[in-house]
Amino acid sequence: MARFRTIRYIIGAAFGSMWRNLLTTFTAIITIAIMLIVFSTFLAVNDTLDHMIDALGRRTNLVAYVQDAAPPSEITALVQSVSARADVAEIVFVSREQAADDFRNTLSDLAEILDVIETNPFPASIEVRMADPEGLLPLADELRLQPALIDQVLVRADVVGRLLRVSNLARIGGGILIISLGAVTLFVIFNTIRLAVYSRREEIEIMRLIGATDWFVRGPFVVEGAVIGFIGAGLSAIAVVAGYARVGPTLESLVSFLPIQTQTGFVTNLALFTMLMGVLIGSVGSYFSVRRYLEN
Amino acid sequence: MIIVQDVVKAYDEITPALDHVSLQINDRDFVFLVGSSGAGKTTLIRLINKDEEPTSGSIFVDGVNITRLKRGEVPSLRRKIGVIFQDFKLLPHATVSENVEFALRVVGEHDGRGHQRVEEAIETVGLSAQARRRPYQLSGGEQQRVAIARCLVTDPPIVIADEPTGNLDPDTGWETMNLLVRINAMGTTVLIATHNRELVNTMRRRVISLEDGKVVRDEVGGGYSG
Repeated sequence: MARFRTIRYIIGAAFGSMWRNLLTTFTAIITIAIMLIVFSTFLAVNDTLDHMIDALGRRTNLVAYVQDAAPPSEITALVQSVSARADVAEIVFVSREQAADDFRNTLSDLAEILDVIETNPFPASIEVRMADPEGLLPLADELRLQPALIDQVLVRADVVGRLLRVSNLARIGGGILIISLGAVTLFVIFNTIRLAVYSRREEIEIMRLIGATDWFVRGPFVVEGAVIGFIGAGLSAIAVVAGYARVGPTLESLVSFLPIQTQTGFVTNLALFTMLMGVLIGSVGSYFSVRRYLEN
Repeated sequence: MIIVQDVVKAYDEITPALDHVSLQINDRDFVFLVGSSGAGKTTLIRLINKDEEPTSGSIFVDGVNITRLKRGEVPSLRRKIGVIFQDFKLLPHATVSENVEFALRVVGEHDGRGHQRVEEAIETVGLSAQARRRPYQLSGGEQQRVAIARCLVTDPPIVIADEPTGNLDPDTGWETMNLLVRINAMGTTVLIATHNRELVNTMRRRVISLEDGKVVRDEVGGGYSG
């Protein structure tokens, strides 16, 4: 019973302190909300980039046209050696006849041209889909080194390569951003709680003189930090969900060929994750803030 | 029981605030600690409440060497000692009963009997009619009585008062002193630091006199200046 009353006191004291320092509390909440919006946006962008790279990786990335005169046994050997590579997901050999059939099937209006020409103008080809897009350009270079077998190599490297570069940059930039934002958010919480501690310093002194444990003194401030973090993160989650609902469909229709992340599941997870971050940063920041005060 | 053994407290290298002080206060004692300002009275009280650490020497409270207590063990010591301050140290925004109740909360004893204990403590100091008032609505003497009620509610075996009459007029000072006598009669050890000559001379209790950080007199039934 006494424990329940203590918990009730700690929660009550936390909200009382927030109310007394309303302006500081409000500033901290807004700052945390902004930090977490930037954080979520970064996570969303990063995730979308990952998805794009993944999806593009799933398409055929490389087509090598085979010399008409190339001996079939050597082509088979080449196909086998390429398919043995770890970074290759799939390799398909398309014979000249198959290429002509594909042309007839996909472009039926133009199929008559083939009858006019009489001979099959299509070369045989090897189509490669990469498991790891990073291996794409080295593989293309390797194939080009065999002009006796391979006539021409077409690579979808432009898009994939750029995406990879952007994604890597985003990862590095994002890492720095997350660390800086985390530090700034911790600093904001730390100082907000320090102000709250300062405004209740007499009460704290009395508490300690009459035998309060450190946890009894700390409790309300840790709860206060967690609540500030929770509200800030809640606002950020609302902004992210609303932003997605508004911007998502527009983006999808603008760049329908790219796999933009707009599933509700992703947004919900993102919102929950930022909430967790908010509460964590809030409580940890305030814990250290009060601890420092008490130890001094 | 409080035992102070050869305690030195030096804030600087010139004059120590307490200079090899040794004394013993038995259970149920009523002791005045007298001396001029700067004699070391408050320093000694702060050391006993472990608000400060001695430079050397040992202090035992109820058989526990408090100079060896770890940080986490200090609250249990302070729950044995009720301290009354000259400036009362009340929560300004809380009512009389909230201030008293606060002490119970702090020590985690605010159970089903909490309200009754608060009421009893307030009644003991004669402030039942003012229970819903806040400190700024009370006189100095009344505020001091709230501080005493806050001290009583947790029922500590030792009560230490640092200049409890320092901010009070003589009549109110006497009321406060009578309360402390009653608390002592209920079995609580009482240690009062004061330079109120009239009170000490009239009450004729045990007097420990400090001068320049040294115990210069320890006399049962003594007056302010011996």
